[in-house]
Amino acid sequence: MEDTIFAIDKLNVFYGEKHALKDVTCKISRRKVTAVVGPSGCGKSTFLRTLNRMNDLIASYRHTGSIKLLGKETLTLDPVTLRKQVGMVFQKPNPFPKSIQDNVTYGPRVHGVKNRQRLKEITERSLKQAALWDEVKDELKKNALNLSGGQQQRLCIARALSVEPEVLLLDEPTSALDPIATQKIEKLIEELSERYTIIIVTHNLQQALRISDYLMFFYVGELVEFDATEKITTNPSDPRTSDYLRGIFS
Amino acid sequence: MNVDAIVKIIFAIVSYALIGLILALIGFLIINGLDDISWEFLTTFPSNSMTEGGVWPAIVGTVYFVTVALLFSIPVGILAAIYLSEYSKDTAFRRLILAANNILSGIPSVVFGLFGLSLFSITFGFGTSVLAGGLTLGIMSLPYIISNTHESLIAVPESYREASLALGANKAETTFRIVLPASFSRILTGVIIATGRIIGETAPILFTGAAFYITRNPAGPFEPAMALPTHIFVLSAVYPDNVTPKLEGSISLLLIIVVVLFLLVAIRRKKEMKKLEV
Repeated sequence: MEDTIFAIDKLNVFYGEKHALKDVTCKISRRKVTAVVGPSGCGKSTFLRTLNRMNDLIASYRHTGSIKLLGKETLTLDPVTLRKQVGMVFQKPNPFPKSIQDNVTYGPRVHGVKNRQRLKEITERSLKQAALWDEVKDELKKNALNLSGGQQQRLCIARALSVEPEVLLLDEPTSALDPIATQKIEKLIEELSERYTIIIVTHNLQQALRISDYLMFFYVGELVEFDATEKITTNPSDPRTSDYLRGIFS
Repeated sequence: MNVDAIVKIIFAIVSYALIGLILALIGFLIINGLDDISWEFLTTFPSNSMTEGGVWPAIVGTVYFVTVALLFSIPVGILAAIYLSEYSKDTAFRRLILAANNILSGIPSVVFGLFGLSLFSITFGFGTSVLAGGLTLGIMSLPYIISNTHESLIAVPESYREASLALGANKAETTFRIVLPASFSRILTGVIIATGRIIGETAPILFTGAAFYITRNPAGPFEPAMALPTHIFVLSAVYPDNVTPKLEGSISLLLIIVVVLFLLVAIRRKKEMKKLEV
């Protein structure tokens, strides 16, 4: 099995005149948790949204360079195909105003799964993987908006897992949640990393240190440091990284 | 007494007087005609130069006109609104279309009537028919359906679209399976309002589709039909003073229909507000 999931080479991203990411070159490991950190406006969310081409929706956006997913160039790939392989969970839980079951089966249905038995299996598998099954198995027809915030976010994770992606992008997934719900999601991320590659943007440095195998530190559009989390916390190679870790700016 | 208290009283008097006036007017007209409304009145043809009998053909015709109008304006209006909110870019052109649409909704209905006469009845050769009249009503309700649907669609949170696209759905799937269902209730409310507005319109169908008096219901869309508002117009405008046609019953009936439609809207609005509070 290949160890590298994303090979990124000289990635530059612009919003109009603004140079949002500068010459980012790196390799992201498969089935590991990579945390992306840095001060506000450093480009970490932009980086994440470039990986599944969600930025394409912004009119002024353009990019140069190369991002290969398992050896295949993604920047020229059809975004629809790419997004099936690279799932995403957003900052604010955003379940559809439909039943729990319809939320989970939406992705598979869009991709042509019609068999009801199969859809049932997908629902159960995805909700189990997202550690939500036991809480909702008797009320799958209930409107998802009636769930608590933490449950909604786990439902969004289940929804992303329903199409069996390779990668799960998490964009500050716990920033709208209380500490207990956050803890549940963090535990879930750890479990999911056995099967999925997880790339998580977080504002919470402690969280990044708790859950990640690798740490990416962005500063004003530059990838300043990228290494094993343990290595960076004990011995950062760039002074900006050590300043950030010590909390001099955030 | 201080200024605020006086101002408050003035506002209160004006608004209660207004509400009272409307209720009195509607109540008077409905109650006044209620005596005339009977099963026979609803189900028989007018007779004896429309001084006796019922309004059955006017009810049937109204249903025909409104059906044709909605069959035209719902699909066209919703598709146009989808284009404006989901597909078109925010350019001067889009703003121009939206502004033009708003102006269209303020045009007097008699202008639509003449437009329909010229386009549908004469140019397309539909003559005076249910089709020409219905299409004219449809054109008239189009601006409202477009702007209401457009507003309902842009009220759908962007996060729903993002979630759908991030799952690998394309834009059409996102629009028809997520955005449209999420705004369905509000779009439907708009359609009911549009129905309430066109059901009482006289001028658009007067030249294009209304028959003054018929002895059988139209057999197809190319025949004229009677309608409640034009029936009222004919009864009130054409008859000499010494003949008294059964006018009150028709007015009462039309008002009841419109009031019921708008009550329906009010109930739906209240439900929607409750939903938003959750």
